[in-house]
Amino acid sequence: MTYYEKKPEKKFFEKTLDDYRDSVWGCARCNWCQNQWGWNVKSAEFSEICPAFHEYRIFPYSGMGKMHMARALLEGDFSYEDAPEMVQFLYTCTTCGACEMNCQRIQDKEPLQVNETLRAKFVSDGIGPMPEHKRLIKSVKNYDNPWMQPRAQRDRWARKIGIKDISKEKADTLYFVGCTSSFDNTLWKVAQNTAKIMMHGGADLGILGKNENCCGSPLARIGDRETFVQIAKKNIELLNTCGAKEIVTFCPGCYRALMHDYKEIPGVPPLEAKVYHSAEYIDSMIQEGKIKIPGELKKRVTWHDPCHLGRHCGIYEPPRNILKAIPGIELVEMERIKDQSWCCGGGGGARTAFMEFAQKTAHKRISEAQKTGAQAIVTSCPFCEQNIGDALNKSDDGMEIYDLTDMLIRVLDL
Amino acid sequence: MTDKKKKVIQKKLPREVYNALKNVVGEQWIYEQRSVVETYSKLSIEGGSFIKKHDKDPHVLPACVVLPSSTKETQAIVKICNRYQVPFIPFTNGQVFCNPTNEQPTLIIHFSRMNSIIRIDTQNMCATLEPYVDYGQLQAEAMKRGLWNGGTPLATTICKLASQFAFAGLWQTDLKYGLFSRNIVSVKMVLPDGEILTTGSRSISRAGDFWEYGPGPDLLGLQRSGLGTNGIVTEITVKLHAWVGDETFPDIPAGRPSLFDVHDAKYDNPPAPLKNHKLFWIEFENFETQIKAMREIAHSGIAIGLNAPGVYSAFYCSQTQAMTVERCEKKFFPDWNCYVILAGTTSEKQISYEEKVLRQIIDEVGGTFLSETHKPEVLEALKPWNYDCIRHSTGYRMNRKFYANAWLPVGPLDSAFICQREWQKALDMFGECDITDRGGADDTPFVYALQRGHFCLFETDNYPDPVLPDDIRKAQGYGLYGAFTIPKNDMGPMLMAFTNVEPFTSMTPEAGPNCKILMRKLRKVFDPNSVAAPGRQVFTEDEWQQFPTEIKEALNKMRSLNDMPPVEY
Amino acid sequence: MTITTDLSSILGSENVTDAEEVLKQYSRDQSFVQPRSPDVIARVSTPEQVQKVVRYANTTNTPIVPFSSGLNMHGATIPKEGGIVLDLSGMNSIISIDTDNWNAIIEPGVTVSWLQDELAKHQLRAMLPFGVHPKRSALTSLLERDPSLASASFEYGNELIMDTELVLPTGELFRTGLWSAGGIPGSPMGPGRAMLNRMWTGAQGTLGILTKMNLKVEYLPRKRKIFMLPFDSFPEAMEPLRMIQRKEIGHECFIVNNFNLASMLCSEWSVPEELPCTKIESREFETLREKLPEWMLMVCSNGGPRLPEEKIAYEEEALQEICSMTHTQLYDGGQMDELMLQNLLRPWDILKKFNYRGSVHDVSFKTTLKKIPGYQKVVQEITNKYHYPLRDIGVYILPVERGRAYHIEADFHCDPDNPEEVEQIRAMWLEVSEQFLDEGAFFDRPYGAWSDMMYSRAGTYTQKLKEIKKELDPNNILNPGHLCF
Repeated sequence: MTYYEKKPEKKFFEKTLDDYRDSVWGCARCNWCQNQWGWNVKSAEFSEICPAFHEYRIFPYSGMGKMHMARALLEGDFSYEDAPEMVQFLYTCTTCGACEMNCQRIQDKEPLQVNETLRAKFVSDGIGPMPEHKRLIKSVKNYDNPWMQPRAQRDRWARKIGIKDISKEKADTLYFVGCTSSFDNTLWKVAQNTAKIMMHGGADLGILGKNENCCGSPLARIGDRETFVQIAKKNIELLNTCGAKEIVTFCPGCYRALMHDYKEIPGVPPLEAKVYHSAEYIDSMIQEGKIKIPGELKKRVTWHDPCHLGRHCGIYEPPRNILKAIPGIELVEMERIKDQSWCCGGGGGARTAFMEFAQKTAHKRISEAQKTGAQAIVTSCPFCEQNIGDALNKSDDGMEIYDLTDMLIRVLDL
Repeated sequence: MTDKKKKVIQKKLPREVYNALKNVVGEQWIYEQRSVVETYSKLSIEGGSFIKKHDKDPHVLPACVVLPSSTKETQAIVKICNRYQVPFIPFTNGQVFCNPTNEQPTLIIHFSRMNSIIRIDTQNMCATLEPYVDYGQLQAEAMKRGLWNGGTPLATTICKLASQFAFAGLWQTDLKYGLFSRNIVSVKMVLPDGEILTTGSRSISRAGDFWEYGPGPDLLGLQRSGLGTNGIVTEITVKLHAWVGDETFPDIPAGRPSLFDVHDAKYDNPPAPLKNHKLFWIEFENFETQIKAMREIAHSGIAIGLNAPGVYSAFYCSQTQAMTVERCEKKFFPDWNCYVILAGTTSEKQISYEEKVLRQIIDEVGGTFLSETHKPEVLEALKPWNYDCIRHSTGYRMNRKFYANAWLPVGPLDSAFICQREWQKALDMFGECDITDRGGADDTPFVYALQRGHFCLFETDNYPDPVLPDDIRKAQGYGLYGAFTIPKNDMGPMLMAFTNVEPFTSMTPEAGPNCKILMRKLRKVFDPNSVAAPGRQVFTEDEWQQFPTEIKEALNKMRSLNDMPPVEY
Repeated sequence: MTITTDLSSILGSENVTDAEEVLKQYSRDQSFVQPRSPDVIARVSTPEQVQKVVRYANTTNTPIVPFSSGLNMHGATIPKEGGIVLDLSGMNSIISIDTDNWNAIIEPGVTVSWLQDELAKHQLRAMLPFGVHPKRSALTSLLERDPSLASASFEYGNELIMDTELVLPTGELFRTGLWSAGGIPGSPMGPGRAMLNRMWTGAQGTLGILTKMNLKVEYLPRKRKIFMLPFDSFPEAMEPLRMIQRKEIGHECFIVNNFNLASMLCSEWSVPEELPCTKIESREFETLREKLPEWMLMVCSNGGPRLPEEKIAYEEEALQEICSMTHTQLYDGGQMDELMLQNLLRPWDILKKFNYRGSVHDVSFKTTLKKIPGYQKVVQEITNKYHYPLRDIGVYILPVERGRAYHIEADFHCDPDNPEEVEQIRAMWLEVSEQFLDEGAFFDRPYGAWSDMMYSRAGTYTQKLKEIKKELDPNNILNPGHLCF
């Protein structure tokens, strides 16, 4: 097959390495997968963009490295047995997508997709994922969540806020909470605040309660396509029959899965409801005057773009709009933002398997935030909050991390 | 077709050598796993590298990769290589144009840990960098201080400056600032024999780092473009110049892309050139007028950059490869055009003056400015240049598919016509690869006016299919033919591949003349143990004898196509 | 057989001489370098003849000293080990002047004044160093890296050599630049991308003998305007100078002190034909020296080939702005303007300074702006010690490439016929040189006594030069005894 030969249209989750053959042969080693887009570079210190290459300094950790390893595997230059170390290279990747962003922009190629396809191949051939990920997959299969938590506990966070259970009571808007903030009690507040604010803005909000399942995003990222597809199918059926016209989620992982990943599964019906991230949903409510902000909060903050929300899905402005709408908040930007944002280190299964690397990556983000003179990092992703939060707890950085709703709820009469 | 059953097995270093290297850098910074060495073996952007991969040539696989953190560690590594006769290849991005093949197990010295800007001297306008510092980083830091380095390569801002010392270094602002070779103050190098050489005023401890020549005979010019065979640059001091633009590049009003809309053209459209800069695009009726105008502009003393990108804007300014192809086919960009970058270094009035001169020249010579009334859609599409003219970021769009075996000769401006003629002849001979759009814009070489037009560089390229070895071979034929037709037609030296890399040094006895004799002597001085192996500048007699006869024959065939006598071997 | 007869058979007896009085002429210059007579003078007129002589010298281990005009002031052509002086002054063609690409091909015997005259006919100019002798070889001047007055401008700065042709120490012909590809000239790079020509610069003929050079030339501006900024002390001039460089105002820019400026203006003196020369007392010089400001910063704005007045106007406006910001008044040079403008194209009037005592011994080096006041201090201390009047030092300061580096020439004057004075000045000159070196001065052209000072400090650089010399010139025939060879 030549570079320009028309290829059959395929969805991502049915693609194999063969479908990326010209892409991996064509990698020109331009190295943009490791660096900030040239026009956006503001300093030498923060000019790199790939957390794994930044830390380990050798190419197999970069997007480019994945392309080259994939080419060699594809052409039979070596096999798994010859390179058992590859598993580590594949999974020390936060799937932040920075490599893919820049490669797409300049080279039309897809290093992240290649890495995820490699991961899928490793999983299906029994070589991957990392042992820590296997536990996570098992948990999703057994408990519908990756954190080995009993299903019955899923709606504990919602007990005191009076939100509808959509399986019992009809609601226009489904709040898809996601596993991490449902089960991690340190994040319950975020789940609650999000719901409260949306309800305060007049949303007819309901949750799936104990019936909510993992969105499957961690499995898609780790490469267990089979389980992901099963879950996705189950979810699509559930979501299409729950009666909601719109779905809001605050977890960027869930958002990407619902918004984009489900569409990339062959042979499944589309989600009928429109999918929103809570930041854009709440931003619209503020713009439309449904939420008024009476209070003031004096704080200098910086916004950390969660990769799966920003770079992957293009939600850059809504959270910034919300912060700017809060009287007293001064928003100062870091150097690496939006499509060129530096990952927190927590995504793509990296935190699960490589905690030290994830924490080092978070520390780098903290140091970038500190350079802005901000008192706090604000974000809107349970994984970012966990990972940056843990790093802050272990250091004397004097900086805080907040969820976006934490900021907003303080100035609302709730 | 590639034989998928055949594995490609790397050679390993003797344990004694591996352990010695490990003791220098520590266990964390030495790798010899199969997948790691793979990522240091298929290099861009010369066809040979890809052919070797298709042929499953195991000798392009290094045995081991080490990552030193300092000049001292680099020196220790090189000394080990000398002690055990291990060839080494210094490595940054791997964007090189020739893929070395070594029979012996070879060491890659990757400099990714040496990535600091050591100092920026604002008084004396220079910056000292480690080998992994790129143009974007340097510009970002210098611009904050009212300085800049004078340009970036169209091969984009993530080229490492130290690597460009060893190789190319062509900028779009070469009209004023000259090639990178013009912009180096000094280097600190670990020579292939393990000695440390510093050049210029830095060679004397108390003098400081500000003067590029000597003492006495100048070794900097000799080391420049040695392709790493004369030593490894571990520190480089580059010149800085006055910068009058913004401290950082402003955000594009259209916002930022996401993975799902990244190909939208609006994200490529900087509103206007940076503060105190102005960019003009001019269309011409034919190549002759374009060249005439370029000469006049170069001689008028205005502008910091003057180049004619021909069809190349179809790459740089298109968001996808499909769009590039479509624009080539439809001849969206004018066949004959050039851009002029003005900067108001002295004052704002400098720009007004220079614009007036430019308009006067175009009035006289003939040509039309792209404007709101003349091809506004083309001007709009060219907007990436508003930032790219200072910090080129879209350059590698040339390589979306593959870009190989370029011709990059230098010479006086008139050589543009020879270049065009010979290129067309070569395409007739070897056939075209993909997007060469015969009879149109793609027949025009990219013309860069260098150093106020005292000389120029011309670029013509080929775009073979990387997955089709036969297509690459066709492009190689074209490239090899160029290696001989360029000097035959009074042009040269090629900026990138060939002519000072073997086997071309030996197969082009006309070069110099006596280039081979001189280079062999210098090799003896700098690399007595023959360990610096990123592609030899010159073979020893033994290496020449061992070089495959079939390649010598093939090259002689190319010589005969140019009516050049065969080289005896 | 003698060298003379051997060479006569190669070059013809009319081109070879070992007459004592002729040999003596080649034995010394005005520097402190110990005179030594060559054994024979061989005049050549083609590269082939140069090759033949070089090959012959290799067979007999005879030293060869390449010689073009003999107007090096630092002893570079004194045959330290005797041998053959290869006189290239007969190779004196301007082979071509390329008006399309602005370059000129010259042979070693072409003098700077002749070259400038010829170029002017084509509305072009060469960029010459301040204080070059009109009879100096233009090729040698560039090869020895005499800093051109256009150094202030980055575009021309210090890189004016394009292509070169030379004979290697073992007799092979070699070309750099585009010439290395075998055809037309037109690039400084080559072979390959190396700037190989630089290896022969500053080499004092020790690594090869240049037979041809293609050099960059510039248009001859139709309109120019010179601006002078007077200062009572050098530190006062530093900020305006820095600002002028950052704003890139002017094509030429330099500073001279009142000694040098008075020498140039003195009508009682003329540029000596030969150096050293006879001293001439001049009252006019003394008056001028008293009257002129201590330091004068010169900036020359060149009108471009198009709309020259407008270019000069915006540069002048920017300069005025700097003057007002730094509280500097422009100096009204009156008739001086014309003389200075003339000297930017034909910059040899400064050589009138030789008339003061007969010989001039400069300490010329590269440094940075910030360090210059430190050297003033050194000079003050050492000249005090030697009772040499401070006011008898001529100073020329040239910013290079918009102030990245500075070329300094500080001159000491002495009567060459007074051995005591010569010894006294030599000792002072040496002490100043050594002290300057300790203060960070960089003698990038290490002539005479400077070479030991420099190369003993240059470590691997020195070692590699020696190894290169050994490989390229295994019999050490080219100008032995100079540099570190």
